[in-house]
Amino acid sequence: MEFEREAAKPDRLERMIERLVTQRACLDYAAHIIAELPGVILEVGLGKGRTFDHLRGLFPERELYAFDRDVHAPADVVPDSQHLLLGEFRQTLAAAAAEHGPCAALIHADIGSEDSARDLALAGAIAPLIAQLMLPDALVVADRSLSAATLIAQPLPATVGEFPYFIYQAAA
Amino acid sequence: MRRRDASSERRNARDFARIARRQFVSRLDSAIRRLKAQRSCIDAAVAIVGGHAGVVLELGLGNGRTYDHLRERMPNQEIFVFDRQVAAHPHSTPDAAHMILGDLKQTLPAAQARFHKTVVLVHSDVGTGDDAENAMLAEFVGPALEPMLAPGAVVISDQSFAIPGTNPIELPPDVPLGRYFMLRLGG
Repeated sequence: MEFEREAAKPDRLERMIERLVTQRACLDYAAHIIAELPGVILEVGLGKGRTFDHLRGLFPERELYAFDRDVHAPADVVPDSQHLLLGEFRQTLAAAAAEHGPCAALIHADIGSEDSARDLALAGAIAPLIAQLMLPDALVVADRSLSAATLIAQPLPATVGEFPYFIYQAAA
Repeated sequence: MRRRDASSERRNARDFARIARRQFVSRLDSAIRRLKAQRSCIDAAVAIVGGHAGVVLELGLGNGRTYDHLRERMPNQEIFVFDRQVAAHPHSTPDAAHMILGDLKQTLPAAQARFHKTVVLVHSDVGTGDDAENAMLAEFVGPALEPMLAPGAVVISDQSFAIPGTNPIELPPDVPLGRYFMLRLGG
């Protein structure tokens, strides 16, 4: 059994497809769960802007804010300067949490790298900040596991594949 | 418990039906479609030429995802990659003997003698955002490849180009028309 799993190890093209399909399934699913919950949408990790663009499509009426260290997305998916918070996540999320408190109906945290020790430390540092930014019943969709007292792990939609992704709801 | 599960499943099914009717196509959707199309075309080509003796050419390494897929699907074939520079993930960068660096306008003609009629599969992903550059490349790449193709070779390209002696082959059903092109050399 182990051997079969090893033999079927997906290549980088397969993994990228799995990752993007999982992101889309989780965001589409989360969008419906929070459809009736007013609040802003936060993208933590703008990256190439693919999921930010998807969130814009899902939430044409809402304010969206993106956080990242720097901008490397195509210009047409970069939000204006009022909606773009550049800097280390620890600082920008802490500043947003201090200024706005619980304001978000949905947060997508796409923060992973190939350095799992770095990711673990970052996820540990920002999980409580993300929790502070979430309205009661809000959702966070994340590519790394997040741990905070108010975050309750949720099942993923049935349409996701093998790629690991996480959804948490803020306690009401 | 059972009844609640059934009703939540019904609710989820309704939600997904609504999502399926959504009116926008995002960059996320486009990326998924493009990557799946690449995978389908490569897999279809491998099904045709996978057992044939010969080498594989990848024009445009990019970040190395399709190279990684080719390597996974054709573990017994040598794959040579052409690109201007290496910008790929280190795990999917070929060794120096299989990486041919430089401008295709020089490197392809220079490779013709070496690979004369030995190439069974070409995956060409050289399109840029520049239409004029793409048109120039498309005109040049097809004829430059022709002497290297083995009988029955398959060429997959993100640009439409003509190669003497080849015929278009049907794209896999999940690939939108005009997104990829597949040609097969007769014989």
